[in-house]
Amino acid sequence: MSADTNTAVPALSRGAVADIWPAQADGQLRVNRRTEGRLCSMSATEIDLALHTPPSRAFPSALIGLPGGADGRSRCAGIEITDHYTTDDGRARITGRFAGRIHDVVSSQWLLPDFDPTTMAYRLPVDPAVMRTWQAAKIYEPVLLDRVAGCPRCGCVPTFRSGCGRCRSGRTDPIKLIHHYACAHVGSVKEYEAEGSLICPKCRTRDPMVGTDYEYLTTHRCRDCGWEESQLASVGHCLACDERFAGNAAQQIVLVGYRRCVDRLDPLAHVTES
Amino acid sequence: MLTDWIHWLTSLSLETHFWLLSLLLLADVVRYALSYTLMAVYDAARAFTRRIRPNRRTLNRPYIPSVCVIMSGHNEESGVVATLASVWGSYPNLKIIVVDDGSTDQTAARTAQFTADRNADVRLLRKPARGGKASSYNFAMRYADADIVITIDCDSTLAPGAIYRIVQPFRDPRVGVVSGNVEVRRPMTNTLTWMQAHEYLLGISVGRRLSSLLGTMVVASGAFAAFRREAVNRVGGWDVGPGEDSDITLRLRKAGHRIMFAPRATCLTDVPTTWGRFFRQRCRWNRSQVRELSRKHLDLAYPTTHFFRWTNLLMMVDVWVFQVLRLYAILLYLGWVIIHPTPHTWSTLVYVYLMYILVSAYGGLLILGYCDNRRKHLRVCAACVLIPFYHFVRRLICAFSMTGEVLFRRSYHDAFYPRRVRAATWRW
Ligand SMILES: [Zn+2]
Ligand SMILES: [Zn+2]
Ligand SMILES: [Zn+2]
Repeated sequence: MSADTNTAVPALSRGAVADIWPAQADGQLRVNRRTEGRLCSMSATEIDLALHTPPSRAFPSALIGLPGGADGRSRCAGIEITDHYTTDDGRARITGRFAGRIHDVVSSQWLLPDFDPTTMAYRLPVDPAVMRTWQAAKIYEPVLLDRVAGCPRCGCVPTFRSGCGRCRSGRTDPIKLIHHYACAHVGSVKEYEAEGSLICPKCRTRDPMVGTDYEYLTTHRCRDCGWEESQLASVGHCLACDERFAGNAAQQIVLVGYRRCVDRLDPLAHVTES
Repeated sequence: MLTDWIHWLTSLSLETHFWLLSLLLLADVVRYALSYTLMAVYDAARAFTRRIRPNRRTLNRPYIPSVCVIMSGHNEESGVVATLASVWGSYPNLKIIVVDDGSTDQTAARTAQFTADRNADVRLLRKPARGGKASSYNFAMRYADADIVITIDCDSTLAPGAIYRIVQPFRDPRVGVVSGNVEVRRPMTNTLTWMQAHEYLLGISVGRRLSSLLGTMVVASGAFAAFRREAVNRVGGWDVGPGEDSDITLRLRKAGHRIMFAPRATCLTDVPTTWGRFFRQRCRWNRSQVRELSRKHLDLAYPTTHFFRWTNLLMMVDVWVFQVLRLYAILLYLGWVIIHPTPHTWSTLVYVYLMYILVSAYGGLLILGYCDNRRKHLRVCAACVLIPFYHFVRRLICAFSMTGEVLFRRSYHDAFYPRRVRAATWRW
């Protein structure tokens, strides 16, 4: 095997030490069963590795890390195992194809949650449980993207409205009240309206002037339960599960994306070597 | 010097003693020391008979009317949660209405937070600009659907069981207002609060027992008072103050209701901690008292009115003689002593001061005799050596503000109510 002349992609010599994380078909890494092996051969589509210790069980796919990444870190690729075999000198070998779920995942630099309008929720392209194993293997690192309000029952993204603080109905009407300064009476405008003009029901003052004699106060009355208060409450309604809840009862959903923190191994760059 | 003084003292005739102590004997001893003692003896006798022959009828029947607490606060973010915490859960099916009187701070937000955290039955009403306590209470009354309405200041907290105790006198359908027992929350903050604590204990905890017994209560302090809702609605709610608490008490008195005192319904309140604030508070109180009792509600003393009762007249006489007349008499006495200096002026003043201390110390004994927590109140009672001085300063403030109110009606310039309300309201 001749030395690679491409400076951008450092050479991979035969016998380079490879990290191997056995994985399940869904992409979940077996972090605690990580093993090491030596590179025997590699083409644009296939790789052949000799394992230092024979695996206790065969695995369908794996993530491999080979040296030569930036800052001396490894470069990663996903493979589907096509063959497990033992050589004449008793060493376990695997042959894999650069394809499958692991290969797909590791090829993207960013894994970001997407809003799904049918379920009204944010979803990562990879199962979070799977993602935790990738994080444990230090292949991906979490990045805080945002915090959004979620339904306290199902965690979906709810809608919000100003509504009744008691029954959480959105059907409220503003009520205008008059505060007559002189006698401190507070009553609804209707109570003041008499004989075609404004008359204070407490002190019988006729035609007071707004601003100098009285001011308006406002409340909101609920059409459904009759509750009346100065401020409407923030009310959440989940379109996914139909739950209504107080605005401050919404759960906080932390949106986390993942960034690959190692380089990707590009087998095509080594095509000339084979 | 001490021997000189004792020599001078022993040389005085009985008649001179009487003249030197005339004010003390006529006012403090007769009106306060003696009457309180008689009341204490009466109460002791009653407690004794009740112990040997308990009144089963009232013991077995709990009286639990529906209660709504109304609070009004302007920029009270520091105290509102503590007040709510002491109120909420202290009485069955309690409703609370908080009126945010044009606050620019977190009063409303803290209240809303408390409501959400405790799932409390709190209704929050907001006024866009400060409009004063009276309109806040009237605003709240629109929503107070309970038999009894209780007002509590945002800088006060209730002792356990206070609400249950303050509503008990309403068993009697004639009772319209019940005053709670207001004590100083942190009496040992400084000398001023220490002396005020003594004044509150003697004047309210003991003093109102007597005026409640005689039916001569002037005011149910707004800091903690209970009202029969119907009665308040019938008199049209609160009028513009300052002094809206005594005003409504007196109007309910005119409407024929009884005013009672619930001595064991305790509310702890903050009092002014600096002399400047103390001065302003007392000016406000004294001015409104003059306005209520010498102008707006002077007719309580007229025997020709349909609402005339002897207790009303007794109350007016008590206030006029023992507060106003005595105040000016003390000033005259002092003025006379100062403009006629004799070699014995200082001896006289020391003698009179010592006698006042003696009376204050006796007041302390009465306080201790009536209170539940003697250890706590003993420290307050130790203030008796300063109490004559305190009352003297208080009377100077009183004379200043009362005279100002009589001559210039200063209460209409008090910033306790906003300018636009003061400008629109009537002047009595
Ligand atoms: Zn009016
Ligand atoms: Zn409602
Ligand atoms: Zn939901």
